[in-house]
Amino acid sequence: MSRNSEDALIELEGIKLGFQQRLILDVEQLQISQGGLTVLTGANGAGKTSLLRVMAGLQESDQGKIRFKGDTVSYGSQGLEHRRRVSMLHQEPYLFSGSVLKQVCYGPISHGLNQGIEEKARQALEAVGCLGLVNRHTRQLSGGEKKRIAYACLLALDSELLLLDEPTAQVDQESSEKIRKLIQMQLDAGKTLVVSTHQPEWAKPLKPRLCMLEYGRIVSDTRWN
Amino acid sequence: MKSYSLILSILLYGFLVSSVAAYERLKLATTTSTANSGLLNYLNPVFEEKSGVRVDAIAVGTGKALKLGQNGDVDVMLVHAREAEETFIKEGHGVNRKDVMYNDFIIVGPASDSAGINGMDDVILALRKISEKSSLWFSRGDDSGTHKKEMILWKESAISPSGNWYRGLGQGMGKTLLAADEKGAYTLTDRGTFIALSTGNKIGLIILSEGDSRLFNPYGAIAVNPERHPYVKYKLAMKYINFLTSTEGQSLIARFRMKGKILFHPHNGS
Amino acid sequence: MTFLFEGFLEGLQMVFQGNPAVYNAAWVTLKVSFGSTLIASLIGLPLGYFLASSSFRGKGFFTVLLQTLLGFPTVVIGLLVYGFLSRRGPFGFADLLFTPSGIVIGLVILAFPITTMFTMTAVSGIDPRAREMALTLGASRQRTAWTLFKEVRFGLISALLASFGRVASEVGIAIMLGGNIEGYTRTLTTAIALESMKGEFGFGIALGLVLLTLIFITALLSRYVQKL
Repeated sequence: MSRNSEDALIELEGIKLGFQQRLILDVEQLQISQGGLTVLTGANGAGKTSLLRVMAGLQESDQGKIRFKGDTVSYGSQGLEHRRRVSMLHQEPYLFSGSVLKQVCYGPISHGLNQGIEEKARQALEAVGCLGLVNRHTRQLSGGEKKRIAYACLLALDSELLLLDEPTAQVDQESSEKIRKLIQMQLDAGKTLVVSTHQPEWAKPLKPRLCMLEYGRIVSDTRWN
Repeated sequence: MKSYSLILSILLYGFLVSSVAAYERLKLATTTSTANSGLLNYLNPVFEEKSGVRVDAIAVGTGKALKLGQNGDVDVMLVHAREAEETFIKEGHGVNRKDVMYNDFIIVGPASDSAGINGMDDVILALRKISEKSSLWFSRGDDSGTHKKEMILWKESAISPSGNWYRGLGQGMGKTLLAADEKGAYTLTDRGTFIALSTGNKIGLIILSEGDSRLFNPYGAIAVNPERHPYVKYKLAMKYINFLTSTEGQSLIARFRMKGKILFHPHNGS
Repeated sequence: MTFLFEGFLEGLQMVFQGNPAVYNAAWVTLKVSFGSTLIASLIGLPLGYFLASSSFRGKGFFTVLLQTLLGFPTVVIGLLVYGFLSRRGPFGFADLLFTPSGIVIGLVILAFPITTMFTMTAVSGIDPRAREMALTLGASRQRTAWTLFKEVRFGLISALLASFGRVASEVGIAIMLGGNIEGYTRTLTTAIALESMKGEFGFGIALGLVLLTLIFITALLSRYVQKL
């Protein structure tokens, strides 16, 4: 545990990730403290998604270290613990074939819960306004619905850090406002969120910290008030 | 989840059922002529009833049957190639050879009989004529007892058969007869297989040469040498051989008919 | 034409009159095919998953090796296994030659490359986001594998089916390792080989009909299972 990071929830140090001889991620230092919203922005291919995946424990970086609450994050078969503390919403989430209810219950079951799972799932579905879809097959959903169901999957878990990749991409005005409300709700509950987006203005009302990525580097780090 | 457990349980069930084994089993290597004629299906149940042993008959050519015995993969053999059997015993692979029964070989061919051998009882002359006329001849070509016999006969005729008219098929007796029927070829066959096929109207070939003493076809039973292969079921093998050569076994063989015809004559018969 | 027609008629008659030889052979075929498909799946499913989801040195070579096995003539497999199971071979002591278990061993060698390659193809075809979804929702590696298997169950069922169809319709291994012993190791295919040798066309047709029906039922069953 490093001394100056005692209040950091997640801390990245010297993260480098290459892909086909190109450096797509080069983050010297990034600390995100407990509670609050961090928005990652930048052009396509700036490394937003890769950074989220690295933080989520889905992608191991070539170099560098990540600490979560002071514990060094590991990957692969050792990464289960970390993956149960952090969850990520993909830009175009994949839903398993089966009912919506089963999909939302998947996380809590994976976390080893054995009571109140369905209740949790229903609450999460209600929060994203999809309770009516509970018995629908995941194949019969629109893109926007899929995204909300996937969000519900995250809500059904008590993850300490939520990573959302472009939650408002290809989503209409109304839905994107709904998502903002959801995020606000989570912030009020004391959660920590990192959200990537092309349209940082959308997140302005949430008064986030704004990190700008360019070619895998963080080129600016400001707080919006 | 449901679907997988269903498949798995079906597979598991099938597998468990398949691994059930109950009887003591005696492995018999024999020739296609005894198995396909139905003789073994007639004899073995009687033995199985008396002894409580299942006889697993593996029907191959005599050459292959002897090879299986030499490797110790079977316990007992019922074959027909006297010379090869004697070599087999001499080399120590088998013991207690007993004569069981006999029938005879015949030369069959198309009714048109282009070589003109119909009615010849000297098989050597008949073969010479076939080769002179270059009439189509199908040989088993599979190192079976019949094939071994054929080679001996050609040797006695001082002919080394080759050329367009002579074809080795590498097939069993049944297949060879069917092929000879299709192509109008001559061939050497044991009488049993021929009767089985011709009475069923499967083939139109006719008997052209028979009765020569050189066409005598004795069947012998041999136990695999237990000193070579200690795990063979020698006692059971001897039980089986003794059954075949017993008064009961011999009279069973004498009474065996296929489609009303006699196929095998017991060794101890009149 | 009458020859064909009569054979067919005779065959149908035997099937519907419950000819014991036909049903014995069908039963043996079922047993060895189920047994070998089960074992081949226990090998092929994990192996195929492993090959699809990991990269290591020599993976390409290994895949080519499997593809070669896929095209291996059954008589060669039969011959090789015969060498191992014969009393003179290294596993002669087990007394497996000319038994149903002996056939199963040969058939497993025939079938596991099929189940492995089918599984590998199915699993590599999975959307990579499916894996990440399971992982980020906190699934363990085993649960992730199970989830992915469920996502590609159609592919896996076709792996089992392809394997079952292959082993049920195979002749060379069954005859070389089973010895075509009536009521014990005589399968539908080896019985057909024998009956055709004896010129019993109708009997052969009857056996062929049962074999076809068997494979047809398997296909129906798999359709039903896919709907669950």
